Amino acid sequence: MNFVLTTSAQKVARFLLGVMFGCGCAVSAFAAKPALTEIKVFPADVNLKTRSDRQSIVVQALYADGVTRDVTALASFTLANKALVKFDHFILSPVADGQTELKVKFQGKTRLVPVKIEGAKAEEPISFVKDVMPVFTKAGCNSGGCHGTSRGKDGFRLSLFGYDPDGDYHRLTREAIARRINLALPEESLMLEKATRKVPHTGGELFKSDSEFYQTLVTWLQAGAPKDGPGVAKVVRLEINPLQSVLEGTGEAQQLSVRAFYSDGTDRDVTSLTAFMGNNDAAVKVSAAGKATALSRGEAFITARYEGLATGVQILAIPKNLNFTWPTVAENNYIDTLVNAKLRKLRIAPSDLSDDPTFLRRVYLDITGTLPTPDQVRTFLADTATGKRDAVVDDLLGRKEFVDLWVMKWAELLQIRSADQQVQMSAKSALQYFDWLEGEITQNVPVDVMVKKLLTATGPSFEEPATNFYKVERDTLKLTENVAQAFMGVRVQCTQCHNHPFDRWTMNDYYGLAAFFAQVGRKSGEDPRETIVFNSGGGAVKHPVTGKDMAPKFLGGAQPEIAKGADRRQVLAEWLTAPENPYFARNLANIIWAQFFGKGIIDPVDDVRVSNPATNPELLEKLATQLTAYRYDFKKLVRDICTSRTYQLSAVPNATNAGDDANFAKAGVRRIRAEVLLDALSTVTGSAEKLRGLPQGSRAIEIADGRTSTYFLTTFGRATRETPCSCEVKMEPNLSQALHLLNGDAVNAKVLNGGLVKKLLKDGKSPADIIEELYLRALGRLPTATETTKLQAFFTEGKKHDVVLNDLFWSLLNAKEFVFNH
Amino acid sequence: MPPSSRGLVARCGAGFTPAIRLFIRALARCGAGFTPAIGPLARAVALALPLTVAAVAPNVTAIAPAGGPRGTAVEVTLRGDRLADAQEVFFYSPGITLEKITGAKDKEVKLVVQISADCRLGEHALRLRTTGGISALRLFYVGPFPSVEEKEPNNAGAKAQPIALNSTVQGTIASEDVDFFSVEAKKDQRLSVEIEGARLGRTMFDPIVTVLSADGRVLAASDDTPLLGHDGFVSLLAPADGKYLIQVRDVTYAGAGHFYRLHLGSFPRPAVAFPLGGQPGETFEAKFIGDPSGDFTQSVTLPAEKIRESRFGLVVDHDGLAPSPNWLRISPLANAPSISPGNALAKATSLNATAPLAFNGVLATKGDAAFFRFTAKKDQNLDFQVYARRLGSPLDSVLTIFDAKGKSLGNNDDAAGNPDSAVRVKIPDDGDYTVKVADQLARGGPRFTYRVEIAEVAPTLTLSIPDTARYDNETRKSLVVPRGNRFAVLLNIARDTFNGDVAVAFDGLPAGLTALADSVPGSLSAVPVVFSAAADAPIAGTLLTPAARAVDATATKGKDIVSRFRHTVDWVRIQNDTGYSRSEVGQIAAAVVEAVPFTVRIVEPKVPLVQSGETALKIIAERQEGFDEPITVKMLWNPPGVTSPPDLVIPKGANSVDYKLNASNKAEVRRWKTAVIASATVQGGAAYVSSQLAELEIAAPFIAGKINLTKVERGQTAKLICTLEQKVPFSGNAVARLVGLPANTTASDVEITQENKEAIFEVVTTEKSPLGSHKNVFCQVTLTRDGEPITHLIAQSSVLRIDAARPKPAADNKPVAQTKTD
Repeated sequence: MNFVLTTSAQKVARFLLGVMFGCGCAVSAFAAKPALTEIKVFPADVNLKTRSDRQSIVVQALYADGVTRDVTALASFTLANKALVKFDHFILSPVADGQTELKVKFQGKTRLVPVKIEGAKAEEPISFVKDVMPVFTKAGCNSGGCHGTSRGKDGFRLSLFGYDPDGDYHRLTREAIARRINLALPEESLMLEKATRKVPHTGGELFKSDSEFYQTLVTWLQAGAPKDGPGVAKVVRLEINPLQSVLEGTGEAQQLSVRAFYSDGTDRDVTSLTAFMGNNDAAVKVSAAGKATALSRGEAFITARYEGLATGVQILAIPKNLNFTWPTVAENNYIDTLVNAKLRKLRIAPSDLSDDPTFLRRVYLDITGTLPTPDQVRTFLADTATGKRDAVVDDLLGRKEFVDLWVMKWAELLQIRSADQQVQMSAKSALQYFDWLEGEITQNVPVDVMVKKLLTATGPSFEEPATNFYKVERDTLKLTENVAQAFMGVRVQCTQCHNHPFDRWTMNDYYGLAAFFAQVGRKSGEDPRETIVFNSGGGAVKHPVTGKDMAPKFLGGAQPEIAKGADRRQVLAEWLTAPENPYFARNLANIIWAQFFGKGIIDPVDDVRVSNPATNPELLEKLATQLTAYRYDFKKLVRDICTSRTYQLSAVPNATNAGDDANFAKAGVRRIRAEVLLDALSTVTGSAEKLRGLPQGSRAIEIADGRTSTYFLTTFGRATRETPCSCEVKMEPNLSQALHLLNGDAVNAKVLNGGLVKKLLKDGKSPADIIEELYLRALGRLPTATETTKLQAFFTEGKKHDVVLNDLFWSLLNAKEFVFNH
Repeated sequence: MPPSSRGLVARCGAGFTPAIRLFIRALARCGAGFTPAIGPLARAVALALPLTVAAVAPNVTAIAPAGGPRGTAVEVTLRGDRLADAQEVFFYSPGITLEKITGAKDKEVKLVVQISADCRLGEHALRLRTTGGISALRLFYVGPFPSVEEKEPNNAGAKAQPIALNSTVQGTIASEDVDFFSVEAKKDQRLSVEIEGARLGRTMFDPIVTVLSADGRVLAASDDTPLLGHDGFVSLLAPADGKYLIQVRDVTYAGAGHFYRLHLGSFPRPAVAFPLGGQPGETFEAKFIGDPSGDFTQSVTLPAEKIRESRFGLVVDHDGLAPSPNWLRISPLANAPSISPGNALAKATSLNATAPLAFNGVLATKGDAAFFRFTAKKDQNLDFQVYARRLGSPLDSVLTIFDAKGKSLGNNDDAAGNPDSAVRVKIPDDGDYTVKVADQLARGGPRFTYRVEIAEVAPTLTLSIPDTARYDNETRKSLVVPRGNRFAVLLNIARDTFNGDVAVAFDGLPAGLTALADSVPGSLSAVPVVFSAAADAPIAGTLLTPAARAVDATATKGKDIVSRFRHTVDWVRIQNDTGYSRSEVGQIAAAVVEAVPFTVRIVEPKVPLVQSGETALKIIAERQEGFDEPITVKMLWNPPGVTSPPDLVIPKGANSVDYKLNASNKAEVRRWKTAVIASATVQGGAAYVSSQLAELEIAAPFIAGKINLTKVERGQTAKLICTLEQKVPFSGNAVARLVGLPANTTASDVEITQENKEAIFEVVTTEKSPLGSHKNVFCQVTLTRDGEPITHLIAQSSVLRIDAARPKPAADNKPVAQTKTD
């Protein structure tokens, strides 16, 4: 029997496809004059060393409504001892050694900034790394589009963002002798003539000959183009201020201030040498000098780069005179508090609470990857207890399906899949790895313990399936990248060849991290499919630029002492999973969060970098702290999330949050992921799917081997598990998905094979009962009055009820409301 | 693989009969994936045309049942092709005999085999002989328990098939199949389960057995074991009276038609023994480790007679018989008394013994290493071998030998695809030496038993017949000789510390069958052997052990030479040709079979093949009246330095072919013996015969020569001089011919005598002769002796350069721009 799209079905479909989400609610509010709460002065202390040292001062005012203003120009400044320092154009410069104070006053608020001057007469020698190279970065000479590209540009190459100072020095001074620099007549050096476009330069004019940059380069050349001696201090940390600004109204600006801290304990104002870059120029634009100007409503993150380091700040831009009053909403837990704090700053009101059927369907899909059964919906709707939502969350967290879902997610992160080469990663290994993972999650093994087991896995892979971690990826560098991406959410891939263009990672960081995996030994077991993983106690990773063996170094951390032959992986695992680790808990918390909101607080979850910061850092921090406090029992964190009001918000936007997708002011409408959707179709229609290599009746969510797929799963963007990237799971709806559902076998065949309508009719159910049953099964709600009325029209004389009902069933399964989690 | 057979596969069967071609193509295809079925041979032959004739080997694809209990007569059905003329079954090990053939059809033969009460338990290899040939190796399993057939449906615990304790279930696993059985056990009764699955050598089956309580809780599971390889066993004490479930499945739920024998009972199933061996005939108390009721000892008497296998299978008897043996090593070396080892080099325990010796130990705790001291004499050449995994121990040994000063003389982790270690050390001085045994992963436990043998290196000759086709261990590897005809094999001789000439012998050939082979010079590792069957030889067969001995007894320096024959059969291969399961036998099957309608012979040349020369070997086929199939001939073996085409075809209607052989300048001067193998389709199947063992002499050349670079302008004629070096006088004229000239370039032959110092050729070019250096010019000199040509290929890789014609001088005497020449 072939199912044909009948006229009735078309009508029903059109009707259903059309009805989804409509209204928006206006938030009525009026403005009040906000009070000044505090002023901040940056930097909080000033240290001037040597005659040429300078420090600019920035003053920020904070108001009761969260708005900030750059009031540097409006503040009054008083120096306690004018004989020691000069204050001009908000810049302090040394006159004589000593200590004094700068008093900053604005609208009655006062701040004192201690100023310390040392060596006011001393001349600091010019440094290639500290002074010259930042000019290249700031002027863009060593960017990827210019001389920083791997082959250079127009015959001249600089290391990308200056990852190789020695190489850059060589190329400037030695590679084309007497051409790029001219020590006799420094101003006639090609490098200066090009940059100022006295001679044709593809890159155009980068600075003028009266600029500070020009002067720096000339000074360096006049000094004989010296190379830095071993004693020159290295920059160890960058500080950017103010850390957060809320700019009200277009044109409102905030000057940023960047200070570099050096290995010798000194600091320096490097604002003028810093390269600034924003990630949302439509909202906030940053000038080369570091002045951020609000343009339109939104938020932007400004990245500041100096030498090899990068840091950044968040800047919010809100419209002026917004008619907004924060609505009073309940706060179920810390999540709501922190989300709302951000929303208040943004003048965004959260949506209303979702209704019961929507909540139930959402929480079932998110926690267990299943739909509630009609009975479960009915029971929940009939329940009048106040804590019924929390009770459902608790119930779902105890189910096996919760474990299955997270086993799948971890299997994606760990890339559990058999390889084309049977021997390398056999189906057996994939299954054993999956079973091990399932065991760990079923037993609620804390995630830190599990990750430690993976990182330090040793033994024959058939007996110790965790060793498959080292089987899936055998290349040391790729393994390093996977560890960083999966467990820290950091993509260090770029730094294999050059310093990270959008982050602070250098090649040293990369190869230092890789060195932890340099001594992983592998040998074949008796069975060619088996690999024995062990600590070989020898071997090294070489830095490709210096050619030297790299000592293991934690990413962004210290270089630990490891005894010769000791298992380096053990040391790394301890560091990674320590509560104070800056990435591990945050990354996990973010991954967990993303499961319930369809979006990470840092998004994508595995692309944590200076230039892609958390939209709500306080929230992420708190979630991470909670996770650590829960001893990495992530079930507890899931409970916090699902019981928060934020999670339970409606997807229906209001006037203030309609344009916002980053701050969790409303529920996200998410397409249901491939496996869950297929399982849902199978369950709802009662037509089970047969999957390769799985016992009869298995769900798609239980697929152990990432290579196992079906046309449906592939179309709906199931992860192939070829990389640990979160981008593996494709959630974007596309045309082939729609066509597959509408015209393909997926829905049609299942509706018919399942024989549900037939069975219900046989059981003597009336069309009205069956309609209700189908709605509950597919959409988790009862039909609305309108829907009921309109549907009744189809059950007229002469129409076959089973055909109409099957059409309706088909239509429901093709409705957006079914395919999406909302 | 010898070069000849490489060519055979590369050509993918060109020139072969259709059946053979199919066969070869099937083999080539096998490279793309592992073989899921009984082996490429079986699959390939199954593709060939069905046969009814007896001139071709039978094909046995299935044996049902796969085994039987000892002390009984078992009716066995062999299925396959060409079985109608079944004559007998060769069993490779005693205790099992063919009682009668009860019925034979082309596709099926029914037998009764008698299994003696003392028949060794476990694997028994067999072959079926028909009047037309000998089948590939097949396996039959002998167990102690009565057999029961599995009955579906038994896919769930609730549908488990009840089985009486101490039975053997013979079952099949289909795709994604799970089989359940139930047994009743009393509290504290030993409940043991052992599967024969992978061992049956039929399919890529990796079984996992699980014992569950009646309510489905897993009590124990076993996938792979050091004792049984991919097969597992479970042995536990029943926690309570009642029903227990046993589940069998493939570890990846993959494949189909996996046969297995599952032993269920109260039998002992110890994991490993201690000590792991002794001398022939020795009686000692062996401890068996791993029984759930505790370790137990049993008095063991090792067989006194020499057994071929390096290990002896002992079936333990302890409140019942184990269904398959534990393994012990039999060696002439005396066991040093068991003492506890030192745990550091400085604390090595003295064995108070001088090499050669053997000792046994256990690495009882994690991180254990055992150090033993022994004495050895200068110049002793010692083989250190660990026997552990080969005998069922989980130990993955690492072996190190130290001298008295603590310097390592050698160490090894894995030797020859096995976790057991082997080191060969030439002892530098009289004195004490230390041997260290450790686990590669620093593991340990009571089951980590091991045995170390320190033996004087014995001259060893290992004989085998190389595979004649890719992924095929059977074709032309049994000695199947048609009546009144010949057959030949190439016998490989792998030498260990013996380089003298050896003679090979095939003692015990069936009546009327004789073997002929030249002695094998020390420099060679292969020899062709030709078998001849008298026209009236009875149709009969046998298993025999080929042997090799030193031709000159003094060459062995008084040591016994060990000769052994090995035939390894890969049952299932994993991709990249890695063996997954395999068996090895030490005997070869030989038979006289029905006559075939053709013979071939080589016309022995009267003149030698000279170094840097070529000859055409005439192969003559004699066809019986009415037989006109093409006959494919192939050199069985080429002497070192001689090359030939992989095969040639004597087409329909023809009776001979010239087989061209080329000798390099390094071909060894000697009289060699070789033969050709011929195959033809006889009534639909491939029949093989060989020529006689013919002599082929390689001689030094009579003449050598050199051609200096010769230049000629296009369109011109030039003299090309081949300088001759007369080496051996010859009578009469020889013809010298230039070979390798480019197109449109000619030179006439030149007659020379032994007096000529040079041969001068007129090279004639035309306007069409190609420009450039032609580098493959050489001179062919053919002299005649005894009416047969002796062809030399001298002055090889000489160069003829054809230049463009020089431009004619211009009329006005102006200098002309030079034209570019190549």
